[in-house]
Amino acid sequence: MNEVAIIGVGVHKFGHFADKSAEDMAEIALRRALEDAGVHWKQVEYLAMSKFYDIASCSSLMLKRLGHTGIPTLNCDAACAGGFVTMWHACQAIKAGTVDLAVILGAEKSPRGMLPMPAYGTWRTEMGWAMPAIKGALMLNAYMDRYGITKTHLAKVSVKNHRNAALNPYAHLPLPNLTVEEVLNDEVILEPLTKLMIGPTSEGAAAIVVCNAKHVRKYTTRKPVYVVGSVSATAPFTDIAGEPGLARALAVRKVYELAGMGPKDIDFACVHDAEAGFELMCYQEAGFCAEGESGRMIDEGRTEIGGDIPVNPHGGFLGGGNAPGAVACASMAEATWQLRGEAGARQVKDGTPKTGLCFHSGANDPSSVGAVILKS
Amino acid sequence: MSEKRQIPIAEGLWTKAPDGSVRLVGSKCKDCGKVSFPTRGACPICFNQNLEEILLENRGKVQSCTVFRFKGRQPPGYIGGVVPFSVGFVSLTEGAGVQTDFSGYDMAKELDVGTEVALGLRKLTEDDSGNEIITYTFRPV
Repeated sequence: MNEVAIIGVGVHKFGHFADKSAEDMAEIALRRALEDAGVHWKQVEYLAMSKFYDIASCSSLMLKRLGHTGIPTLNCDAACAGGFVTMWHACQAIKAGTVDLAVILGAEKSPRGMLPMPAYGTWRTEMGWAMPAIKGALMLNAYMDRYGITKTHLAKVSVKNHRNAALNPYAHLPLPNLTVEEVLNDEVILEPLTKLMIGPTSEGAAAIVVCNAKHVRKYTTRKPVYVVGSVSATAPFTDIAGEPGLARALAVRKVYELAGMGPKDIDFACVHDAEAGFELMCYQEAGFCAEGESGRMIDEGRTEIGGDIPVNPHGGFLGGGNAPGAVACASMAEATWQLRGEAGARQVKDGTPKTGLCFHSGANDPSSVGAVILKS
Repeated sequence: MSEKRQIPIAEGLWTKAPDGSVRLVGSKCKDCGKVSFPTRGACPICFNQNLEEILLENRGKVQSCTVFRFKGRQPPGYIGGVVPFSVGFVSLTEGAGVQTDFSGYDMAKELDVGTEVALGLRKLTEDDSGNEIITYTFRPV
């Protein structure tokens, strides 16, 4: 089977852009990724696009703008996991030898306010459940109770990611001087979460160019980054509030297995932090700490940019912004820059990290989930 | 004037048991024994369709609870019309997890994990004709 390499990435800033459509932002990110790789649109053999709201025809609309090349396309609505799901599909096509050059693209023009769930069944919606953050808060409350995690731990995650965002030109909410007290004293909107513990609803786009690793030099002079593990899955049934976390843990286990690696082989990670508690859960799910030790990890600063296992150096969703269809591609773009040593002021491991782990859950029900391990 | 009626938020979620108590209606898998709520077409664990309808226990423990307090906002499609409101999961004695309303307490803070709760009904809203839309809920015992 063929190996897969990332040879180009491009991001459109996350934020609110009244004068731009999702397609406008997607086109900018896509053209930046093509330019980064040094390839022409007419060379692209497959496009898989992720979006959560108004997804119909999204990839066809991109062909309308870039050129009717007639290539196969895929529309994916896996929310924050979308980029990993599309990456998995692109990898299958490249591994099988069906295509040699593909683009995965994520874009979003989210409705304002806390993100809604588009389809959740009538009575649950009427009861007030149609916001993914509600299930997130429920999962978090159970997690905090079980492991003694405090609101201060949550606030520290928020402070770290907003501070990291100040080093990322594409981030939505850079707050370099935010304090733990400010996060704790902010308006509680969903117990136990204050507004600053939830990633801002955002718009933006990100794109990744992938190719058959055998042919890297045919396409680019860029330093390739290899996709050594790619997972896409849907959460198993559970009676408890922990479904997205359970799904993420399974995806991470599987991606380690595919890559023949474990937590100790990972130099940095970009993980799900739609709310601050998710990032703490992800430390444990990734095996970066023992069960119940995630609070201590943030207390000890281990996941800071200069720590031994930096997490979300780009600011994650908390500082970077939560544009569901685009966040997974943005995480992989960040991991690519880090592995190339091109991340500037937010660069981890003195510019020479070897491996990055990225994984998110989605907001659909049951939740989609995806993971990749990238290697320089 | 027509009489105001009480209309359940959905048919088939609960019923009145022979002893007069209100009980949620769930599915029990005849193959693996899994009990789940609400009723469904296939067992969520073994995926077989060999299910029977059963009345669930009307007591359980809070598995997790949250209070929605976002001023000026409501989840899309929420008909309760009132913020704050409280929702979460209850683990019933048989092991089934129930996604539920919790709003019948003061909501000064969320209910602690493990709080013992009992099933009840409450008015969620009124429709245009003044009929009461009723949901099941769990309240601290």
